[in-house]
Amino acid sequence: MARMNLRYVVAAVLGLAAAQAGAQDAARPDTSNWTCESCPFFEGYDSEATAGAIYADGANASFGRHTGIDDEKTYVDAAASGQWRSEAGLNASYSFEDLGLDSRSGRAAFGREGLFDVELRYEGLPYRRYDATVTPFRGFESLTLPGGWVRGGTTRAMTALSGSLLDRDVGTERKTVGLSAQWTPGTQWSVFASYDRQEKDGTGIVHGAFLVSAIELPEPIEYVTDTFEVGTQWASERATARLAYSGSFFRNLNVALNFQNPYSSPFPTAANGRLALAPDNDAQQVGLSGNFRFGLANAVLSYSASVGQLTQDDALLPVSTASNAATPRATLDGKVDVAHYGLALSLQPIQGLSLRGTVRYDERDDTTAPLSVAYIITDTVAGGTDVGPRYDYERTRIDGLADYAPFRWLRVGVGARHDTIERRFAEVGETVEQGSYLRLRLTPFGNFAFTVKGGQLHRDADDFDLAARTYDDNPFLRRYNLANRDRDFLDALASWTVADAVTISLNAQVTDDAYRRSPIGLTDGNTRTIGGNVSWAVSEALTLYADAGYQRQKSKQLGQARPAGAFWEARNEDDFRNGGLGARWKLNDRWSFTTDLLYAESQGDVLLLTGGVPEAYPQLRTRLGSARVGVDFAYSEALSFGARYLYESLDEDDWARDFVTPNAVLNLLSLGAPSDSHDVSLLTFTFTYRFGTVKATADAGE
Amino acid sequence: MSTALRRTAALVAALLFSALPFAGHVAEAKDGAAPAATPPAASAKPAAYSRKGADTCIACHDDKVSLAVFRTPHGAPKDPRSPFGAGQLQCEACHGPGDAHARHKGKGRPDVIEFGRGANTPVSVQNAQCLTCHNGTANHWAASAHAGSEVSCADCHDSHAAHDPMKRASTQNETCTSCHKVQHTQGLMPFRHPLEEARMACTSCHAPHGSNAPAQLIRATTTETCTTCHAELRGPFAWEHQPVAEDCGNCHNPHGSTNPGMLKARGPFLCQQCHQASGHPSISFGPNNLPGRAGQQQAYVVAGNCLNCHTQVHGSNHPSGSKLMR
Repeated sequence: MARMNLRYVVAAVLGLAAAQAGAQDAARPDTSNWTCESCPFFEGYDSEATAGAIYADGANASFGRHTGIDDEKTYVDAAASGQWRSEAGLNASYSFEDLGLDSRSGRAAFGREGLFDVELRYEGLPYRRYDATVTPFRGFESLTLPGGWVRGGTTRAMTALSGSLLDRDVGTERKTVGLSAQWTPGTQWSVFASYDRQEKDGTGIVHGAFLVSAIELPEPIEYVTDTFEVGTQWASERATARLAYSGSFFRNLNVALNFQNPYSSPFPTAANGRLALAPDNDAQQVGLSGNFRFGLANAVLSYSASVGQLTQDDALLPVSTASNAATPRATLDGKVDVAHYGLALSLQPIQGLSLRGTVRYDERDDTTAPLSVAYIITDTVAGGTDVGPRYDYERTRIDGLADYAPFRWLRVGVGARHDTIERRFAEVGETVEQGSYLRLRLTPFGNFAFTVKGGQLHRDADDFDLAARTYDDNPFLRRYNLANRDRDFLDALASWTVADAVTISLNAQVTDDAYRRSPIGLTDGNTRTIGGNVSWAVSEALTLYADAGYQRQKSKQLGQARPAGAFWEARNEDDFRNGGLGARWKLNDRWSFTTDLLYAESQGDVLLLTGGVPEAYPQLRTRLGSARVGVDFAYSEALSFGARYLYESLDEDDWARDFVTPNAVLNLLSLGAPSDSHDVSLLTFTFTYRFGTVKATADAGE
Repeated sequence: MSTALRRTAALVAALLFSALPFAGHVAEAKDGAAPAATPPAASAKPAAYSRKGADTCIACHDDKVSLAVFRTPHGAPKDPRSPFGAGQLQCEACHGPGDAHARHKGKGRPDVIEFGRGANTPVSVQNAQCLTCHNGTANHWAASAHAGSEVSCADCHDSHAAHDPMKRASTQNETCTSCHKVQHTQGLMPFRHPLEEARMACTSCHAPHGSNAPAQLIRATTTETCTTCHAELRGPFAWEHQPVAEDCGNCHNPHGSTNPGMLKARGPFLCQQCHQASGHPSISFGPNNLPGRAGQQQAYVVAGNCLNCHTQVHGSNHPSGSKLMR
């Protein structure tokens, strides 16, 4: 009966929607004589090419982390872009940037308007982590110590260390090549497919340990990820549907990292260690999403559903390099089923009132048979038997918002949410978070807007299942992601544009968390953020701006040394502030200037109270300052020159890195990675040449 | 289903569906062609389209900004979906019927639909115009946070510009952080994703047109979103770490942090917020454990701290990796 009623409702709604769509068609004018003779349709081609040089003085890894400008030398600066279109609607375009750097990227596209598009793309992403790291290990996936190595009980006793150290930079190069195509056989249907191959090579940092004697090791990274997506979409003004398959296939060319033991104790017979590296894995999903736009109350119902599976069947390594103990099974044969369903409805039933509600369900169902292993500690000592828990969950989220504008200058919104997570094998079976908030938006005059949103969230957790604890944790410990929590939050944003020339905005955000039933663990956390910016269009030629921001994050946690030791408390406070000034000045049609100043500083304080006795860690600190100036000169419509100068300084104090030379710590053979620091001058000269058969019409709009 | 869940579901459903009876009183912003084009006007007579289409408009609007539309897909005459495609309404496809606007001179000239911040046209009307064609790229727009905050399409996009600011990472990130100020501040922190260098865009993770995921993520969960790039952390592993399998955001601040690895707090303290087994995990390691000081347990504090030994914190596939050390 209910199903019949639902059918009638759906039929009625669709009928109404169709009728309204018909009404719209009837109102359309006859456009057969709209020839648009004055329309400057784009035909022909135009291009621009930029070439120049970048001289980097003082550059290192911390400066060129993501650009690749990490050496004191001259780099080529080259870029090009262009587009072509025929009268018949065939078109092509290309864009290449940073061709002289490892962060180069580019795309080239070809297509026919309204019928198909094909795009080929490339993107490089360097990650320069450290360029002053050293290690006594040789090799890539199998690390050996040099001949004459003297094993020691501590790093100080490794007497051959200083003479064995080799430079080994830490960082990766990520290169992605992609091809995508879209075919549009009609005005409403399209079919799309894309393929990306991402290769990531280089050296990371991983740690090997023989119980409490640790080693920072260079980790071999040779990853290849192939990603496919193929699907079809149908879209009209009233409804859409998108069906797609996506697959991501990760391959690691190194399954394990073998390394010799540089320590002679506590396990003198352990000659080698072995780490498992990230295993190959596949992730595949099929998803359907779309919406229905009803003619009734501006109602829009959107939906999404996807199901997928994660699999991993890499061959398991032996339990030890030294033991003949059998591997429990050949592979993990890991399988995780995922499913996601969502519905969202929005309505505007009366003028000024809008209602929105969403329901989401996510499931992670790990069907992998738990691995039971008689494991070996440090490749030497039998450690007992462990069974790996498989973590999965079901999550249901419901939220809604009613928003009403009683006056033109006021909107009032009330929202609520409910979030339930049911877990398997975790110490807490279910957490339920629910809360509500109030939102006000005021636009009392001109271009002034003030929005404030505040509310509370309460998370209630089931009782802790002590039997599910791992590693004999303190029974009074509550892990913060599974604990009861009260959250108060407030967000405010004001913006004002005066006389179309000056725009001022101010923002503030406050979040307070209290873990009210956590005797041990994280008990409090709060964040305060404020910021503001001003931009002033002094004239059509000159714009000035300034901005500033500040964020403070504090947390408090409690602990107890066990067994039967002292209680302790740690207070963490991280502060960050930034400020900037800048100007853009277009002196005339030939000359334009830019300048920017930036300052950003962070401080981190950790105060430890053990048995009431305070101990403060040295302050963590970073200070970044930069100044940029740039000038552009248009010699002609076709040729222009640019010059840029950047000075940037970064200084960092980090007790976790400073003075941690390879043998500074008795039980850690480190890579000696330093804190970030640089003092760089970057000078860039470029010239740009524009050419083509089309006179530009778009300059002012770009 | 718990009682609390049922109550909340009932509340949300009641909020939404109790409004339907009022639907007859709706002043439709979009439905019906002519009224949609002249929202501020209270005229009972439907507005009329111009007689010659864009030729009428360009007679006055012949500036570079206006004409730049012909360098965009909106000005593509061979695409039947384009406003300038065969039989389409040209300028009036987006700006609405313009006959009255073109005929009247001086004071009292009726507006056409305007776009962008400061425009006279209500945001809902602006967006409805865009969604007429772009419904397919914004499946989840209507219930999105942006729609709920009265963000107009033109707040971010420039439909006349040859290069839409949202198509380039650098200008996209600037556009997003002009409202998302907290993320702007976090994006300047010492440990962050490479957005400042324009090697990532906000849309690398977020779907600004809406999605059925939290925070309008591009994938259904935070973890699925993160592992689109960090596929090596996807698993499943022989030994898993519960918060990793559930949500990367349990430990990381993806918009930026003052702590290495974009962690929410420094190690070993972050780890000790959840792990205090008997022995070393439960000990308070003070600054005396730093190099050069009296303590002897430095490996618990410096470099990778807990990760110096428990290096496989995202999961281990080693048979002997139950402590995430292998």
